[in-house]
Amino acid sequence: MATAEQATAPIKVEEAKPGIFRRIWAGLSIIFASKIAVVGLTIVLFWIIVAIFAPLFTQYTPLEQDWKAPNQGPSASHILGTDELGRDLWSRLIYGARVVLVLMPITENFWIPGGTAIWGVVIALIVGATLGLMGGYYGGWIDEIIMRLLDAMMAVPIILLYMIIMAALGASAVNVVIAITIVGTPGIARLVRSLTLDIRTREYIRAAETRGENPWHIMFFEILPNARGPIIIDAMLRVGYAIFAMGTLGFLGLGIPPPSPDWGSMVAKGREFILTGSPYAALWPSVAIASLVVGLNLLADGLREESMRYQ
Amino acid sequence: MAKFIVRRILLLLLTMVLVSMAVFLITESSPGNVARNVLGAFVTPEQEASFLAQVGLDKPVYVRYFYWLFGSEWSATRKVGLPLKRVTTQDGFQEWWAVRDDGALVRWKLDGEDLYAIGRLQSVGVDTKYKNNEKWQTDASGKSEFWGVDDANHVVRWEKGTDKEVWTFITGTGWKKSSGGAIEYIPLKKGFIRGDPGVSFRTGRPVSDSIWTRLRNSLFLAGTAFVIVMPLALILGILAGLKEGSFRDRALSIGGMMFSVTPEFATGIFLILIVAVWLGWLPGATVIGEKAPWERLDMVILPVLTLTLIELGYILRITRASMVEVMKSPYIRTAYLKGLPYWRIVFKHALRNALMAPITVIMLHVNWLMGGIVIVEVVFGYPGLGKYLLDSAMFKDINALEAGAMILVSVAVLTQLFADIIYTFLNPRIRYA
Amino acid sequence: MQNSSASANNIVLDVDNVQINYETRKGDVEAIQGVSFKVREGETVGLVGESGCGKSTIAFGIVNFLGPNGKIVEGSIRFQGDELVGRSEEDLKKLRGDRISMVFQDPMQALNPSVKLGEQLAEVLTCHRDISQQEAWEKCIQMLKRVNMPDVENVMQRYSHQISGGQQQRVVIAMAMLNNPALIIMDEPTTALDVTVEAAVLDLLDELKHDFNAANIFITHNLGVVARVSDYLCVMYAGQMVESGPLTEIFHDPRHPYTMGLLACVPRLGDSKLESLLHPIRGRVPPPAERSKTECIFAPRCEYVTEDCRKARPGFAQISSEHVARCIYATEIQDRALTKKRKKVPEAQELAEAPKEDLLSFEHLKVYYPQESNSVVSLFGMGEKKFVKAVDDVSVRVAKGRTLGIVGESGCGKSSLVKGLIGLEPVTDGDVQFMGIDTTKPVTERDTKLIKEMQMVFQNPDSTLNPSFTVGSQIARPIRRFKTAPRNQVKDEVIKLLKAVRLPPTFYDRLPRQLSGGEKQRVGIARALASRPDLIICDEPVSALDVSVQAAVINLLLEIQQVFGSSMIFIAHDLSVVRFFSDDIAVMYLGQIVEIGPADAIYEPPYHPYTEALLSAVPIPDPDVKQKEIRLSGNVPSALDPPSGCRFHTRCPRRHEMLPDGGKICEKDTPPWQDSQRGHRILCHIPIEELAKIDPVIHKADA
Repeated sequence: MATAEQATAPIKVEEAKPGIFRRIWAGLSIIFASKIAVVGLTIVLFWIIVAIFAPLFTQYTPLEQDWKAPNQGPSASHILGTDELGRDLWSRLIYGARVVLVLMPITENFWIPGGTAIWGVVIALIVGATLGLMGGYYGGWIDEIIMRLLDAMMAVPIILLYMIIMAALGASAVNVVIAITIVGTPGIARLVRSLTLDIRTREYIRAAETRGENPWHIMFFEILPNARGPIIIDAMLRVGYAIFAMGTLGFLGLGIPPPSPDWGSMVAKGREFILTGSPYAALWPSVAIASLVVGLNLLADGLREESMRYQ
Repeated sequence: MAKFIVRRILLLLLTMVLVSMAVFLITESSPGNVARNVLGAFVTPEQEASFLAQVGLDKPVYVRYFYWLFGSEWSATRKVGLPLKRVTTQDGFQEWWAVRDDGALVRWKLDGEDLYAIGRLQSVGVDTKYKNNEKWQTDASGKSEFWGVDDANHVVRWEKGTDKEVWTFITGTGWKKSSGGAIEYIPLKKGFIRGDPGVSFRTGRPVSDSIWTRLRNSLFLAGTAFVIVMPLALILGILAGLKEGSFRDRALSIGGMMFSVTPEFATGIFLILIVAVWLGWLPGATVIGEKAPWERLDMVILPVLTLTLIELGYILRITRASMVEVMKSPYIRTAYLKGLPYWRIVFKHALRNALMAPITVIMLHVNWLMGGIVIVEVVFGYPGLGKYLLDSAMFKDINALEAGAMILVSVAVLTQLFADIIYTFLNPRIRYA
Repeated sequence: MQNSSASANNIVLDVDNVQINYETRKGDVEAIQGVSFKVREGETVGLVGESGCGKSTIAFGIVNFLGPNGKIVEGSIRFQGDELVGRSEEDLKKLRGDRISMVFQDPMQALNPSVKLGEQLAEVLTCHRDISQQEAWEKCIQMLKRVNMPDVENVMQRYSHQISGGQQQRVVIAMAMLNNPALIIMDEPTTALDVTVEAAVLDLLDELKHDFNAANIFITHNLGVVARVSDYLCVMYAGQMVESGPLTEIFHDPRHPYTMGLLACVPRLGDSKLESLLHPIRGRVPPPAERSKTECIFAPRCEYVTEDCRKARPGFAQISSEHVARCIYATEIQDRALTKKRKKVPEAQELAEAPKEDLLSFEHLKVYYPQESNSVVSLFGMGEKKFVKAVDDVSVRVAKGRTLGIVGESGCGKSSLVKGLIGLEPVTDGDVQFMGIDTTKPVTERDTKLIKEMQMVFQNPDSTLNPSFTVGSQIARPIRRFKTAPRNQVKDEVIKLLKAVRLPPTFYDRLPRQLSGGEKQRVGIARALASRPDLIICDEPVSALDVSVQAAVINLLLEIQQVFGSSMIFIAHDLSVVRFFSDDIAVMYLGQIVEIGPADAIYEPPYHPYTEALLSAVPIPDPDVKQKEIRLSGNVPSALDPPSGCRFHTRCPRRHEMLPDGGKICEKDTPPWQDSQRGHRILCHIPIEELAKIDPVIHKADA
């Protein structure tokens, strides 16, 4: 009969390092294995860094007006030019990135850490994952109700949802988060549900059930950790969508109200001056949104490709 | 299949009811009010109250919802005691009349203490005005009142001796003050389910007049983009997916991703800057007024191009992913090992399976596409449904908003149904299940 | 048919010293190396070995279909005298599907789901020869008839999902035969099929071999199957061919320690834990990147290893004209002493004495699943509800300390039975007593004390452990939950359990992906043991493991049963394993138990006709054993609407000959339980005396 020595002798297994660091390292090595992920990460990091340290990167505040120099092109004093009120576009841009990625204005003077887009995705993740886990794990009528509800939500055109939500609640960062949450939840719930449907057939779930574990323990400790890979990648894409959505809302006049610099509203305002020969006020925030969203997608794509190869 | 379609249609109805209720409730609870939007900021409280009463906004929200959905003439008929009828005049206006026992149409007017009836015999077409004071109904306390049809498509309750002042707002002209006002107004309409979405507060005209033109314009925009995108995206996606990891694949999928994740307004701005401002080839805005968009195709090119780019990337990527997966499947391996020619493997064995996913996803994507259309319409000032809807939402123009919302929801759910049906026909596994 | 003696020396395929590499990011990896064999007309060469040995790589290498990163770096492959290595894609395309065809493991995957079967068949003809569509179609119909496909015209118009797995494999085989190829490569063609279906497909392959006189390569991990179909055998290990020769010679006189190990580690049908022992091969097949190039590849696992083995890769030693083995001691291996110790054969155990008291008993157990109807009416909650009768009226007892084996093909209800028992599926009806407690409630409503006494060991090593948590925390979880050890001693307890399943304490911090299949299965057993259960339910615990590892896990389970004294329910589809492991056996068919009794009694007459068919279908890894050929016709009926009377009557091969009136009674009346002896019972209308007269299924030919 097999002895301990027999069972393991010829097998070389990588030595176990302390869990969390090894996992982080494994995650980073996946990113660095993919060129497009590195490009994506660079773009995203660029925006995060300028957003965090915004005051160090500009001598202006985003609200400072220079009546003598409205609608200027790039120059030595204003590297990206100025808008119609003579405000420095670069400083508005990086303070705008703050609102998206780093700080969220609750009221004019009260800000909380975590950007508006990030909060929207985080809350959508919590709600969506819970619904998806419940639907997928319990099945039956609970699933039926959740899915019908999500179907109905998905049947409502997103733009209509935005309009209704923002028309009802008014424009504010909190309401933008609510809009992003409501729009994002069904997609996340569906993803988590489909992952749950797959994972719950695994035998370790049956093992937990035969131990008589509480359903919530099974959902959040046995199922969820094993769904994290696709969820993380999806979350990255969703931050991209959330920034997309914030821009869209801002552009439609439904976004974060002035005086907070908001990329979407900057484009909307700047658009009026394009045909009169001052394109920069609309151009730069468009470039900013596009680059950040593209960066996030590159990162997520690279990660997905690498992690598939990894398996 | 039948079960499936029935289920979908039930879902559609459910969604429409839920959305329409949500729109009502949310508009109700939201800050700001229609009166200010319509009348301007300098309206007096009396004017505002009078206006609200006339358009029926003083009623509780459930009553308004009921009127909007099923029409108000049911309860109005009971109050008047005569059947009500909607007629269309030669100028194209719609008027509501009560029908007298002898078949003639009748409306009323209050002048001081006197009630006048205006009768119209359909055959003659000439109105006769006569005193109709016998219609007053006096209750125990001595108050006399009368329910009748007025000349602005309301059923109203007049009370003898009150002779309220009415402020009538005429869009473009301003306020008109008149007497002969009523205590209570029920605006007459047939209700949404009978095809009458009501009158737009913003334009003062029936919603159904303008919404179809707007819908037509939007459909033209979306349809043109669709016709360009579909074949192009599917072909490019298949080309990319055939050789996973090749340069062609990389270029197409990364390029497609960039276009598909850049917000429409940003793409629109880039296009305007490049094509309209720097190159000066095309106009940077769509100024077509009441004209049909196909009469100024040069103005439609940029909006269509914007929509095309974003959808192209999306569909391309879905098709590519599906193609890559199919090309890796064991039955494609079988086909190779049967010694089949490459083109036969691709067309006969891969294509059909690879197209199943994109076609359904594209249909589900119509939901997104609608958002894109709204943005594109705003960027280029294109007079489509999206812009109409956005303006209505900002204005709290409930009737117009509801009508537009219902159109969007129907389009979204019906395309999903359509997608499911197509999928069923492409996939024998479901068809013969 | 051609004259077989004239063609016996007609070599169709000559593979000579082939090496195939795969390019990876870490450089080239050797997938197979040093493979040489010949295939002649009308002969079958079996390629055997465990997973990861490179069997399929050889198959794809022959037709040079190795994907973008695979390449043949050495050797030659001559097909009918022509060199295949280095030929252009165009040339190979002409051969594939025409002169060389392939049959794969999973027919469902190998057939295109959205193209009609007829079209998929006909295109093989139309693309290789100048033939009209009409003519091709007719040829396909003929070929389908040849592979015993029922309702042929209809099948041509169908899609793959509309026919059963066995029929799908017949279509794939027909497709491979259409152009009358010179060489057919079959890659695990029966592995995905149930044992009775497998037997029928193997019969068919045998017939076709004689009729078409093609050369065959048959790849499998199953020694029983290979013993049935092959003339020659090539044993693969870790990408190398370690032994090859005529089938009987290798089975009788294996010369490579790996071949010897393989033959010793599977239980023969009829072997029992009471009188014999399985010898596992220690360790596991090394992945390609970890294979040593400077020593014998098998050295780390070899029981005869010496210092000389570690000096260089050995070459082939000639044993007889066609028999070679890659071992420096091949000629003398039978006389050499083991250099590593084997576990001693345990003292013969007492034959199980009279059954002790019952630990578990269930009477008339029913587990039904509601089936969603497809009509519009059901949308509104109306309409008739249908049930899948997964387990229908089953009564069994399990005595303390004994093992009950449950066998049956897929869909027979054995898994549902267990789920109902353990409380994962609601029990529709019936009475279950476990240690005198009513156990019909779902697991969520059971008392923890009851739950801890009933634990499971699962089938699939890759999904039995939660990939996100360490081995230690997964074994600790039930200990904490059931408080079997004080809080501060949990870790000690886990390490004790690891030792009990022969794993070192260092495994405590490992993640499941760092473990091999056998090790994961051991951890799964440790986790089940953690709550000290009285009953362990083993759901196919070894069927997903390689044979060499299987033996070790079976031995471990046996040892644990002795040490911990638990009762076991052992579910498997492999009749040899069940026989080896169990004291009592129940045979299930379509939701019912048809035969139950002591293990040895089940394998001897009287048989239930279904048991008889099962036994005659089992592939036995011994070329000298002759089995009766009893094949079941048709498919397993739907459990939604099971046949009336005896559920087996639609497929029963015995009722027409052994019952008056052609067995009309079987269609009408539910059969009675008939007692044989020692608690052996059969559910059948045929009188037990008649059943007892039937010949045994298995004859061992005299050597």
